[in-house]
Amino acid sequence: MTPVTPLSHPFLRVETLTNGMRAVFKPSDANDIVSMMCFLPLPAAIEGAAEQGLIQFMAKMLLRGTLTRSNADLAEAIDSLGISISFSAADDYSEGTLVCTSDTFVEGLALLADTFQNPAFEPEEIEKERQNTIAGIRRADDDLLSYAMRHFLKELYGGHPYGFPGSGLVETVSEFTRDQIVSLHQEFVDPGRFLVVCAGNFDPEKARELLTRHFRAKEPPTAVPNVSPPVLVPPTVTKLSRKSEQAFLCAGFHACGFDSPDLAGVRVLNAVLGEGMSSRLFLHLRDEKGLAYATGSQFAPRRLGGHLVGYIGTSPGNLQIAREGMLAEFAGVRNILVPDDELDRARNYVVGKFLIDHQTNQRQAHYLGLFETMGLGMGWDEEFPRRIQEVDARTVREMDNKYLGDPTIVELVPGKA
Amino acid sequence: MRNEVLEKLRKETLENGLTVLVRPVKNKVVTIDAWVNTGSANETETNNGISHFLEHMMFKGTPRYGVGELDKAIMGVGGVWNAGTSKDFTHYYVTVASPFFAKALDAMADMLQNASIDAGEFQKERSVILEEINRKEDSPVGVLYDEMYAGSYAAGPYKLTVLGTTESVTALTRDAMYDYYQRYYTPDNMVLLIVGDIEPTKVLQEVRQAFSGFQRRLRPLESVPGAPSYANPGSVALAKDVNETYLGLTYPAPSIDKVTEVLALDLASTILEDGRSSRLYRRLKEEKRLVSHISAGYPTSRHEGLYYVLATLEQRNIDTALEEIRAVFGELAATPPTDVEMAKARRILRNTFQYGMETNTGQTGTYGYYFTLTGSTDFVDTYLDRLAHITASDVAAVVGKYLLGQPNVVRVEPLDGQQAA
Repeated sequence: MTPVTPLSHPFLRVETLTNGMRAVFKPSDANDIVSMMCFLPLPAAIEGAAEQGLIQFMAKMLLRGTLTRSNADLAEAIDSLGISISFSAADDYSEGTLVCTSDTFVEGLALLADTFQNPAFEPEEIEKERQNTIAGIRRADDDLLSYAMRHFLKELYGGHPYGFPGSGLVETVSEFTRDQIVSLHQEFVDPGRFLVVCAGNFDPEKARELLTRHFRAKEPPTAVPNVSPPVLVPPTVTKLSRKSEQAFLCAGFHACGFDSPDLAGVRVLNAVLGEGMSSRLFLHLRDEKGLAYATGSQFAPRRLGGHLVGYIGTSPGNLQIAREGMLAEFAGVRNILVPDDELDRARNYVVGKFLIDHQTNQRQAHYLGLFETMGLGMGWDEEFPRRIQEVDARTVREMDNKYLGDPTIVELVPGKA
Repeated sequence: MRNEVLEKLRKETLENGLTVLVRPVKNKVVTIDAWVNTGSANETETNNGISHFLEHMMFKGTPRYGVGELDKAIMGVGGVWNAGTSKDFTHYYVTVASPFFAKALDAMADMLQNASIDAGEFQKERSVILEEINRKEDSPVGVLYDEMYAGSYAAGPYKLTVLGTTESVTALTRDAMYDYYQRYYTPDNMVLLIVGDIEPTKVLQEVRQAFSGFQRRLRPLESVPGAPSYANPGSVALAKDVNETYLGLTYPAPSIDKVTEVLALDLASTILEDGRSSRLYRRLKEEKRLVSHISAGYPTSRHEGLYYVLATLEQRNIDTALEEIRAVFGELAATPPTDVEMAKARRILRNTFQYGMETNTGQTGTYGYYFTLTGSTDFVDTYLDRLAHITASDVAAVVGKYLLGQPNVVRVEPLDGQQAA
C-alpha cells in the first residue's frame, strides 16, 4: 500500500537525529503531560517455538535494574518522579514508553535511556521475573475467554509466531537463560534503529538535545530481523473443557494485514459484524436472542497478515444456537449488500472511535509510530479515516467472500476440570 | 490544586433541580456523562440487581427512539457510549466528535427522561443479565470481589452484589422496574457533566432546552437497608477451576464525609501499594517472593466502606503472606512515614490525578463520582491542596485506626487444592 504524505499538520515530520534515531515531535499545551514512545524493529514474531515469550521477557527485565541502579533503586527513582516507564513486545515491533509531566520530562527521559541501554540482567532478578511471568501466564488462563482465544490463535496460525502468546508458555519461560536474554539485547536493542515519537507538553529542541545526549547508536548498526509471512493452514475445530458456568466460542479466519489494500475494507466488515451495540452479532445474538452478555468480533491486523474472530460466552445449552447464529452473520454479508444506513453507521463508528482514541498524548504517539512502523507512513493517521469513509458495500461483500470462508473454531464447554 | 491548564468547571442548576457541569477542552470530541444517585446500595434482597438491570433497559428505547434506535443514532455519528452501575451510583456516558453534540444530547436526554422499559424487551434482556451473572461466576476476581463484600458486612447497603443473584433477577418484574425508574431517575437526583470541544454558554442553552420537560418525580427513598454494620471477620475458601490462588483481605474504611481520614488513607495506600517501590510490593513480591501480584486500595464510598488487599499467590504462602501484610501495616502505624516517602506519595497522587484528567471521560468520571457522593465539586477541586496538609502522623494514625484489626479473608483456590509450584 502506498505510504501517504504529507500531513495536514505541516510541522509533523520524521527527522533523523545525529545519533541515527528517527524522531517525530508533536508538541501541544492542551495539558501538562508528555508521552514518549520508542518503537524498535524487534518483532516478537521472530521467535521460534522454543523461544515463545523471550522478547517480552527481555523487555520486562529492562525495568529490573541497570548497571548503576539496582532494581529497588530504579523503582524508587521512577516512583519518586511519579512517572511511568514500560516496555513491551508486539508481534511486529517492540516499544518502550515514558509518560510523565512536563516538569519531570528531563529526568524521566534520562531514566528511559538508562533502562533501555544499560540493563544489568542480574541472575536473581531474572529468577524473580521468571516466577512472576509464569504466574501471569497461569493467571491469564483463568480467564476462560482469554484461554479459548489463546487456543484459537494457536490453531489458526498453525505454528507461525503470530499465534504465540506474547508472554510465552510456562514450558518456554522456564528454560530461558541469561545468555539468551543478554544476546537478544546486544543484538537488537540499538537506539540508532529507534523511531521515537513524542507528544504533549515539551520543547522539541530540548527533546532533540536530550535524545542525542542520552542515546547512542551501536557501531556497527544492528541487523533488522525479518518476519516470515504466515502460511495459511486448513481450518480446524477444537473442543476444550473447563469446569465453568458458561460455554465459549471463538470462530474466525485469516484476514489481511497492514501490508494489504484490503485493510480498510476488512475493518469496516468487522464493524458491521461485531463492533459496538448496533453491530450484527450484538443486535441479533445478544439483543434479539438473549444468548449472551459478551459477544462481538475483533479484527487484528499484523504487518504481514491478521485475523478476524467472532466470540461469544453463552449457556452450554445455547452453544449450538450461538454457533449457528454467528456463522449465519458471517455468511449474511456474503451475498447481500449491507444497506446504506448500516454501512454509514459502521464507517462512522470506526472513524469516531479512532478520533476518540486520540485524546491522550500516548495514543497520539502510538498511532503515529504504529503507522510509520507498519510501513504505511505516519500520514496514515489522517489517511485512515478517509480510507474508511471510501469503503462501499460492494467492497465489504468482497472482503467477506475473500476472507470469511470456513472458520477455525474453538469451543470451550463445561466439563471436567 | 486544580490542574492549571484546565478551565474551571461551569456549574448551573436548572429549575427542575438537574445540576449541569460544563468544561471546554480543545480536543475535537465531547463527552456527556449523566450520573444518577442510585445503585445497589438502594436495593433490598428482593429487588437486588434492579439498578443494573434498569441500566441495560435504558438503552432499549423511548417512545421517540424505538428499540435499537438509540444505539443506531449514537453509532451513526461515530459515537461510543456505555454505562456503569455500582453500589452508590449509575452513570451513562457518550463521546462523539464535537459537531455531533446536539445529536448525542438529544439521545441521552430522551433516554434519561422517557425510557420505555418495554415488557417484551425486559424479558429478553433478563437472559442477557443472567448470562452476565454466569460470566462473573466464571471469573475468579469477580467471585472474590462479591464474596469480600458479602462477608465483610453483617447488614447494610454494600452487602448485596451489583448484578443481583440468579433468583432475584429472575423474580424482578417490569412494573417494579418502572416504579424504581420513576422514583430514582428524577432531575434533582442527577448530575450531568459535559466536557470537550464545546462553547459552554451555547451548550448550557441546549441542555436547558433538552431537559425543560423533565419534572421532579417522587423523591428517592433513603438508602433502604440503612447504615452498614460490619460482620465479625471470618475466612472463606471457594474452589474454582483456576490455576492460581486469589486472596482478598478486607478492612473497614472511612466514609467520604470523614475527609481528613479519606485523604490520609489515600496517602497511606499510595505508600503501601502504588508503584514498584511501595511497601507491600517491595516486601511481599520482591523481597519475600510470596506473591506474584499484589494490589490494595479502596473505593471511596458514601457510607463506611472497605479497604482491600488483593493478591495472587501459591497456597503454601498464604499464612506467611498474611503475617507479612500485618507486619507492613503495623510498621506504618507505629512509625510515621519519612518526609521523602510523603513527598513521593504526594507526587504520585498529583501525577495520577493529572493523567486521569487527560481524557474527557477521565474528567467526567472523576467529577461525576465525587459530585454524586458529596453534592459538590469541592472534593476534586481542593483534593491536591488538602493533601498537602495531611501529615505523616495523620497517615500513621489512619492506618492504626483501620488496618490493624483482623481482616475478613476470602480466597478462591484451585479445585483440588493442589496448585502447581
